[in-house]
Amino acid sequence: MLFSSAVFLFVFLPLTLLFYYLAPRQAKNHVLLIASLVFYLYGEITYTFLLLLSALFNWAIGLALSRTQPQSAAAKRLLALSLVLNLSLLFYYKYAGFLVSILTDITGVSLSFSAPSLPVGISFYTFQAMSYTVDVYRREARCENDPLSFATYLCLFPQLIAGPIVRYTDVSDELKSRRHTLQGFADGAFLFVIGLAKKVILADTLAKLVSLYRSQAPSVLMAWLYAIAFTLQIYFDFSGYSDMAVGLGRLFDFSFPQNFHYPYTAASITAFWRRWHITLSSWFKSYVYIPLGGNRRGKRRLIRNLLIVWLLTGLWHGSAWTFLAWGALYGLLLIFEKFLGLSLLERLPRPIGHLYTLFFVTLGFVLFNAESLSGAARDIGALFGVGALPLYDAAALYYAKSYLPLLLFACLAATPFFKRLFVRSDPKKQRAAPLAFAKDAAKPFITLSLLLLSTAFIVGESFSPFLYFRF
Amino acid sequence: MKKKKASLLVIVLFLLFLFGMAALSLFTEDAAYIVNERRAAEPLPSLSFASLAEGDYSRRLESHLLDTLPFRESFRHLKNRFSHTILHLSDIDGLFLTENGVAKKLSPVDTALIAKNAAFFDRLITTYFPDSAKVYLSLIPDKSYYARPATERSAFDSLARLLDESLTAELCAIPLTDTLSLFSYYATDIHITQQGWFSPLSRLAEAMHFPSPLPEAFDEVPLGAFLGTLGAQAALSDEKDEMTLFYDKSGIVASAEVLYPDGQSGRLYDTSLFAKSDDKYDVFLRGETVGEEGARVGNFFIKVTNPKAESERRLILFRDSFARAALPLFLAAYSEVILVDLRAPSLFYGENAAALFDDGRTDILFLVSAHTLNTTEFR
Repeated sequence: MLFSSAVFLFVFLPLTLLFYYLAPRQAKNHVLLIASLVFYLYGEITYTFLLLLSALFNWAIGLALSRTQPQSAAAKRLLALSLVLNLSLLFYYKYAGFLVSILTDITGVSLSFSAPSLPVGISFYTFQAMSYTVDVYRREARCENDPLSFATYLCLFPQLIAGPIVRYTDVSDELKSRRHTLQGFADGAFLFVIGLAKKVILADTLAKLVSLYRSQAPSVLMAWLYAIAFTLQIYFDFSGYSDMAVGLGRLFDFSFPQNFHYPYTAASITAFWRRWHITLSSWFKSYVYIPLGGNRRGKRRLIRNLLIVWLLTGLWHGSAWTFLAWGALYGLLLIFEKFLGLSLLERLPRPIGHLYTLFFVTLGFVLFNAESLSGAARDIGALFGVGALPLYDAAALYYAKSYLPLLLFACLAATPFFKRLFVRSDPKKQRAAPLAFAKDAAKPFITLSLLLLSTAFIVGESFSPFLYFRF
Repeated sequence: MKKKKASLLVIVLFLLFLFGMAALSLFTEDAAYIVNERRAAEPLPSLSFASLAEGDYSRRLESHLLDTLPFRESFRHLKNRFSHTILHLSDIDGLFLTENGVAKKLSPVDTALIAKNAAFFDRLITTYFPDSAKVYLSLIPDKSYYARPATERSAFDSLARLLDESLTAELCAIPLTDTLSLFSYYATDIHITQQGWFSPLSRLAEAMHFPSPLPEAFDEVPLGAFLGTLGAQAALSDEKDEMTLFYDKSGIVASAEVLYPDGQSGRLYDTSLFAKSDDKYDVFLRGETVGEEGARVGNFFIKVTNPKAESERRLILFRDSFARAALPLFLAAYSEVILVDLRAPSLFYGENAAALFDDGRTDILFLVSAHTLNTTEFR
């Protein structure tokens, strides 16, 4: 079930809110767990048992870990068991098909393996489960004794299928007791609506320009339109979904971590990854990069660690060479910045840093969205006219003109521009934001307007005239 | 406004909207038919383990909710107007505003489909008219050809070129593009007005050797204002069209007898459909289907007899909907016209195929719009 679907907005969410707020305090987590299972079951009936099995297994491991001595051999064995089983699950569903295709390519022997369909959200909930068992092993998290409470954490529908990756320590106190304030609910509703609008108004409209690329004659202009539109689409799509998730969490008084912070305003790749999919970067930092030694064991180890982390980050996004190459690109860029780039960028005017970052981020997303490495080479080549492509043609000019206002608006919306109309950028500054006086009054207006518009866009997508309509 | 009051208002509006829409969806009667899209709304699906596991249930329930959502058309209007006026998008679902109402994009050209349809034309000609010397083909450009010359003209030109290159049968192509303009079409409908048909018909008359119809030989009878299919789809402006029917002063249009596939006979215009039908263009030869409710059949084979004809010429007109408004204007040239809808199934079988012959006094004309050719596979 998607947050931007009519079923979610007009059936699931009202019913869940109703039951949740009518339920007594001690039953609220149970309502959330049931709602979360219904949410998952609606789209993934066959894999719901897998989710429950994962919850039960990791809860049991956590419980067993809490009864061992810290760092003891028994604790290590339990942790290893947890990691092996969690990663095996992820590997089987997500990477086995990819590995078999590589083996087939290398050996020329066709292996009879039919890759299973990918259970929705498996990358997110498996990472959450592993973070829990590792944190309990490290004694950074208390073990959860109540299996239902743990299942509520792992299956919580706002973050179940597309993050943010919430660690148990982020919400362990809230699982026990929540205050349910008016302000918290209002903030959650507002953030949810902002996220919904980002997804259905901006991302889905940009997606139409993206989808045009493959059906048009190639030109340099069309390639850039595609690259820029996809870079914006993926941001509004993912950050919109994250905003909805965090907003929904607030409706039930959970404070999920922020996942995006205007990444396209970063002036280096290092800064970009501190602002893009923050919970994933932070997960890899805590559970892979630092355990590998981080930057503490010399340059060689640092380079190795960065490459491992970024190849894994690429693979986390999908089992294809393009994702691996995308991760490698960032690994190399970050190594460059660690040793030379950052100090160089600091000496250069800031706009150069922005341009450099946006250039590689855009290039990276073209690679990310390509169907294969050769397709990526073709798409990236098209940006520079490789293959004697024309600079533009009538169709490219037409689409550029048609989509320019949307692209400009989306660029602006990817920065804190609109926020700064209401809230000053630096609290220490004396000068108030231009519309600071309307900050509170604007929220109800924005909420209703965006709800109406988002619903209009969701309904508009169901437009499907009968074939004979045109005659 | 105080922060607390604003927060309270945010909550009230948020909950009111979600619960209000949910309650309205639940307690109002579901629409069974979506007029502006000319299709049935998705019914409420029945729940089963299999349908849920296959994802069929969730897909259909989502479609059902969206199709029957209260204020659906108002939401669609809001989306399209916001997209057009605020986001300045030129195309909305392939539709765009022109100096004369709404038009629909033709591009991209479906090259494989054009080749298939060309093969279908070849097969028709070699099966029924292998020796006929009077086989003509005219491709009708869409309104977009004139509204968006930069992109749409090249799409039409490549489609026409592709069709020409793919055809192997001998036929005489009659170009119409220079005989039409943006204003030859209805503002809110895809079709050409009867007024707009005079110029292209002159071109056809010249090539096919029949007298050119002249506007002064006709009386114009206004039927009323209407919103065409494109206008209804686009939901971008409040502009409407005027439906005007042309009756020739010699009474040919009024006296022509039409035999429809449901066995009923009638006239070239059925003005009762202007009030009854969702598509007002159905007044021309009764639209796409005919017959009583529950037993409607495709209006694929129509026989028109002109008792006032001065010659014994026959015409077999392979057509789509565009030809329906054109026929009354040049019927004077023929004693009998067989209209065969190219979208009809199984043109090579059944009793209707018996009417497809050339007895030496028959003209064969393929008159089809680029849009139909680019989107419908003829079989």
